[in-house]
Amino acid sequence: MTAYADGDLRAFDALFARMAPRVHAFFLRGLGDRSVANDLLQTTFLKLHRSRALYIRGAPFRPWLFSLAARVRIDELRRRMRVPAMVGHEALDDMVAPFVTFEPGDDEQARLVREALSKLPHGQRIVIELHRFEGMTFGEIGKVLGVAETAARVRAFRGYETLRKTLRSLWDTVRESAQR
Amino acid sequence: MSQHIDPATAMLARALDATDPERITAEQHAQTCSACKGLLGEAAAVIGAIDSLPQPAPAAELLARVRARVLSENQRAIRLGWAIGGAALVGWFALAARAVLGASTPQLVASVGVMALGVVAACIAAMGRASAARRSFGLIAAGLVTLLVLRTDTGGDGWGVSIGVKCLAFELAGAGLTLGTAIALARRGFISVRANDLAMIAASGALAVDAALHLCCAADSTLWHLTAFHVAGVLAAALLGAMAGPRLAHGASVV
Repeated sequence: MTAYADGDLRAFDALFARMAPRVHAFFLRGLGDRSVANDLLQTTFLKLHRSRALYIRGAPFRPWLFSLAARVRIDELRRRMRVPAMVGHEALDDMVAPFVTFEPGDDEQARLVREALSKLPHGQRIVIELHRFEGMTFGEIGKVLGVAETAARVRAFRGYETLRKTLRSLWDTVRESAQR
Repeated sequence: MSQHIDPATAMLARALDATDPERITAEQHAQTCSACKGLLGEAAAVIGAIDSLPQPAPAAELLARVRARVLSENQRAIRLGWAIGGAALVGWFALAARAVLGASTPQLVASVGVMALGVVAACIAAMGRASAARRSFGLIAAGLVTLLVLRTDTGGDGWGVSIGVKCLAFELAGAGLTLGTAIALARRGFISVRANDLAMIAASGALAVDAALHLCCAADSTLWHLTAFHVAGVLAAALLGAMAGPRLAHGASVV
């Protein structure tokens, strides 16, 4: 990222090849619409490009990039859920944005898991997605979302517990229907 | 750990990295506790189900299109980077020369000459993809060239410290305001900036003020004063842009 911030376009190519699929997946998982994810991928990398001079040399790049992406995702959620601008992020964090996309390779279990994820409040869902799919620590997630590490951890705690309960219930239902 | 783990804690512990102390403690406890072993097993099943989700992959054409769009922005960014530096110069010069100094036509011409030479030299220095330190040396050279070309008749002596401090403060204020304007515009997405741009924009602001100061600085004919305060002001502004600019902008907000 430092080389890219200094104007090295080859560094941009390497960075884009590595991170663009991840950012695209981040949008697709959270918003459930491929064309929207395509647009937001471009929006995010344009924002990255325009603000690359603001990157602090040596700072972890991935949280910085995902902080841009998270803001773009929140803006899109606000638009789709018609949340007025004066309503703070906290209110949005408690809302459930039930958008989900199924992939061609999804089996029954994958579909259940995606549905369970989509039923989480946004603030918990985004933490779990970054934790599981991006492998970020709670400290990094806190930086992405602009919250304290402990706050990210609490959200994960609640989100994972909700997932456990939801999935156990879903799995039980599937098992019962299969037995019948 | 002697007490049982509750289901939520077991779930989070299993979600943590294998080397996390909290997970290690929970797993050690589960080795001797069948109830907690069952909870961790259930948690492992949930985590495994999440982790095994097929990951969506974007189409290659989409990636190519986005990449091309971003790189086309680069050309625009370079043009806008220069434009903001130029706009800063014009703005500061107009403000200082017209409103504050009431400069005569010959004075305006002389100041424009100082400004043009200094800015051209500063821009050439900022164009390079060198490190911030090397760019700063380029800006020192720019300031010295400006000084030597236009002030060869300098014959005064003394430092003019009391006036010099004001000159320096004025130059830094010009640099700061210009830099702040550029960052604010960049944060709102109106322009694109590169690291090189920030140094150049700050130096441009200082140079514009410097040009105006040639009209009103009482110690302007003193070589030491010019070197110590005017050239140093431009240099300090460039360093401000190259080093503090990104940090200030990041601390305020992220685009």
